Amino acid sequence: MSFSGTMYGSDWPSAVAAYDDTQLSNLSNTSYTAGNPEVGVYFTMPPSGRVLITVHGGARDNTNDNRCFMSAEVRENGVNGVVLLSPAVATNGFGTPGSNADYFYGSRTFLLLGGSVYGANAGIFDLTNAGSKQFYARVMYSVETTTSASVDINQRGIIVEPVS
Amino acid sequence: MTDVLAGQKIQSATWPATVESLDNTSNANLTNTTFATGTPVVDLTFVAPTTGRVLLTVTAGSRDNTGTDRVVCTFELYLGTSAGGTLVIGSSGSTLQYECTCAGQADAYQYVSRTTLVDSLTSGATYYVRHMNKTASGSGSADCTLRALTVRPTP
Amino acid sequence: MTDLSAGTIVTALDFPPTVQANDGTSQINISSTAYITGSPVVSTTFTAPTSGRVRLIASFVGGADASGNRAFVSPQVFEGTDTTGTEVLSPSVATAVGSMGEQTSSSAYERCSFLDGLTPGGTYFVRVMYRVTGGTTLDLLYRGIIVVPLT
Repeated sequence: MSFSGTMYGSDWPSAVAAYDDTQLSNLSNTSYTAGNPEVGVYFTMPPSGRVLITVHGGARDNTNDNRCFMSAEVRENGVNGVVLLSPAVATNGFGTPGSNADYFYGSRTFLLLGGSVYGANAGIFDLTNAGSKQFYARVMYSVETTTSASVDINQRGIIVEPVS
Repeated sequence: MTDVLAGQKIQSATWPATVESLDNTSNANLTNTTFATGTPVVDLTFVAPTTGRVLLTVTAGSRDNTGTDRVVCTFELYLGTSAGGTLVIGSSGSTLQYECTCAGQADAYQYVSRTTLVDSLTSGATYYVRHMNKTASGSGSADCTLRALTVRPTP
Repeated sequence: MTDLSAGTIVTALDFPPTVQANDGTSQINISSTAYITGSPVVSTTFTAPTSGRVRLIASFVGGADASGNRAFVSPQVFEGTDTTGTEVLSPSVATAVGSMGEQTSSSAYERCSFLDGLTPGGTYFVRVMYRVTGGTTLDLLYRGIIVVPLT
């Protein structure tokens, strides 16, 4: 979606971010979970229908062989709303090597585009009246295997920035 | 390249769309030690903003089964709509500023990004960028699955 | 920190330039466990947008170490044009990109972080700092920082 003419502040909702460094220890969940505390933000979609999302953080594995996947999930309205972007590390997440026994820090940035469908169980990222809707993005995490319960997370962060 | 001057109203034409191209096809057992495009080619065209600046992000998911080699990813940027255009940033010289790579000791797929601020682009011109990869030692044990390019016009 | 409210006409001051600094001089056999600048210093000034928010992107190439040590590359931000101003962001793992101890070959990626509360239109100085967890054998081949103004 594009438009012409002078830009106004309403074209540019705020960039938002959340970050938490609570240590989550001995993780074994192979399904994505939000954890406690939850690291999430509400955001307003700009008229462009596009935002960049960055997932960042740090994790380690005490047995040197399990990866930690941190990925963004986006819902309409809030934590119980329709899922619009399902967490999936390959397309919207950041992952650790697995072979790291100590904390590894990095990030991954990707584009979220309105009108698309992200994930098998997600709804269409509908831009109808998007400016009046609230969207909610949070960091979800999962680990590679349940057998050793050895993954620790010490940082989780998310940044949502409106772009043109 | 024109900075947006103080007091000037920003027009939407200053802000062409942010674009992304992504593919999650496995490119396994790579042996090339010079940069190549991968399969399928991950590429896109974009329009340069008034500022002539974009943030260009290379994202990759890669691993090395034996913990000895690694996949190095970068991009090539051309003025035009294809790799037949004028080369702006190539992959044959040093790519330290642009590249994204996981260490060889990552023996399971690891997903990370690397962003470059590209400036001095011609305002309003169309550019073509494509994702490139190579291996450090060509041993045939390194795999790349997720490849993505994201271009964000920036002030 | 001021949000861009509806009806406000967006002007250039709302979007100062995105800036970067980087250098490919190898930093060999790093031993400092306290954050240092290395040589040359990788730094730049930037202007804070109306929102007072920026995304910092710290990146590196390197990290190969035969002895299990890790590197952390992290931004440090001061008010003004150099380090004599008030520090507003200390280098730390919260904003750092890091290597893993097990790697004996080089890696290259980045870490984005979010910095807010900056004074709209204010001038700030950012520099790239790094340290290691121990040893004397870790090398960095490249250090970089990008500062992206946000709404």
